[in-house]
Amino acid sequence: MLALEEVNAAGEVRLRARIADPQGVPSEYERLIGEMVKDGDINHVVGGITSWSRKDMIPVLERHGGLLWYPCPYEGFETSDNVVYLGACANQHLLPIIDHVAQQPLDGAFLVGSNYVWGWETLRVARERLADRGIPIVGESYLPLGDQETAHLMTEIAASRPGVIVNSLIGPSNHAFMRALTQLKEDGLDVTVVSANQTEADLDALGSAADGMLTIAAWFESLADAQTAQLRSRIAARFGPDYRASCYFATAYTAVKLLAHGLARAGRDDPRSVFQAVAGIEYQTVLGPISVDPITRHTSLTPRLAVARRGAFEITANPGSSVAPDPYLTRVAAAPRVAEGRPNLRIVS
Amino acid sequence: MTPSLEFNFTGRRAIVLHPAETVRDQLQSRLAALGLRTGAQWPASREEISDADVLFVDIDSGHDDLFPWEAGAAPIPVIGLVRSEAPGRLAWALEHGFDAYLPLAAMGNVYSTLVVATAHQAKRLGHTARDAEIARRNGLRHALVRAVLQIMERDGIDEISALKQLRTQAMAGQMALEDAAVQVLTDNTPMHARRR
Repeated sequence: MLALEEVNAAGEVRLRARIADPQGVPSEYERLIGEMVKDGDINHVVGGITSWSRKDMIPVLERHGGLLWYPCPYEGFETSDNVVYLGACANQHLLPIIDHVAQQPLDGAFLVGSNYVWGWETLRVARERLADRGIPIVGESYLPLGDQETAHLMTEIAASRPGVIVNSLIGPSNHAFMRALTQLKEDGLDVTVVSANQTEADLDALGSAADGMLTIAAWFESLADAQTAQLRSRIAARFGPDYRASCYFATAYTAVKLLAHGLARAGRDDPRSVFQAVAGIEYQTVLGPISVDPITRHTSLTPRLAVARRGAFEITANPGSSVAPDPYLTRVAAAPRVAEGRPNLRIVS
Repeated sequence: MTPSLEFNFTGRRAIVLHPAETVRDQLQSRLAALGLRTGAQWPASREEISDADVLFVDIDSGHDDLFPWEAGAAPIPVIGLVRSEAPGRLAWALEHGFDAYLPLAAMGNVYSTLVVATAHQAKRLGHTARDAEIARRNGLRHALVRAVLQIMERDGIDEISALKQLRTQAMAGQMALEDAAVQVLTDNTPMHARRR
């Protein structure tokens, strides 16, 4: 809404928002977006967080010709002609963070995630990358969405004593897990938690339980650049000084700005024209320099690494250039295929 | 054995056989984004097809002479591009046993089509190899009968014990029962009578 107000104040195009809140209920995304786009008076939708919600919306958008500006990091392996993927995919979040921790010798890695596509796919990528680096996977576990029962995970982790935990849990499961883990750390477990889906909102919920967690995102509130400082002051003026913005906020903000630019440049509002008007152009945004690939429809972004300390993200690595998206991980060398040796046994019939 | 799945197609060469330039261009761009090297032709040359690692074929205008192989015996994954859904054309495609299908309206799903086609083709080649092995072993039935008779005579045992002995020998040598039979016959044949 902040970006929309700014766009309207600038006056080049005029945007009117219709807001629908599916309250995280999967079936509601399909119904609400259907109501929005079916008559053709709304062509552009900004939003959706989980991959489930996006996958529920895409068929409706495809039927009615709408365009989703999706502002969240996700697992990749998708290219819909009705989506602009503004969030990071695995070569911009999970691989850099795994490569970063794998620089140190590690005894073993424990993988834990929410039991849906984000958890499955991010941990699959993590598992393969860690295996490529020769780091053994000492455990892998999934929790149902919303499940906060983590005692069995703590028992497994205490027994397997991993050097790193890759955490792809979301929402309340993530918070319950991180809180429970503090006890193990107090008992002497020396483990680094890495995660590609932690935001400032999670830090608020976690407090000191997040301390030491390594995360990666295209934007953090704590970035020191002028664009971020400007955005933060506008956020403070609009929503109050205590409002905490996350990468999701900054990306949705960028999405609205990009949409407005596309509308102005195309001079019309049909999704194909607007997309063609923005694709392939480098924009200077609050996320840093970005550009949307016209074929994969994913965005070049700058992955920043940060460590959580005392409720804030301390930036530990901030590369000066953006990373091109590789949603199907085609530029990542395939793991060498294990040569098929002679089997030890043969069944004779 | 289930062959391991492939998820990365970087560096493979894909050929698109389709009369419409827009379709060829669209598909080539998407394949290039997935890291494949591409070529597109219409009409197609067999030389170009022979050079491909994966082939996309328009079902509407495809014909038998297009391929340098018999129907169903493609050595590479072949993907049918579906446009008109005409029953006769679908029947032609099914006769060729294409490994996967990509409707032109679903071009965004080209990656999953590649995964399915590659897995299906690997399975298809596995079946072909298995069929050939079964045929080869069937051809050695006479050797099996003769080897059992020979063991019975040599060791003074019945046919069940002889077969059991032969099976044990096959397991120890990690070979097919028929091959063990051939080995028994060869070992028991006087040197001067062996084929060189």
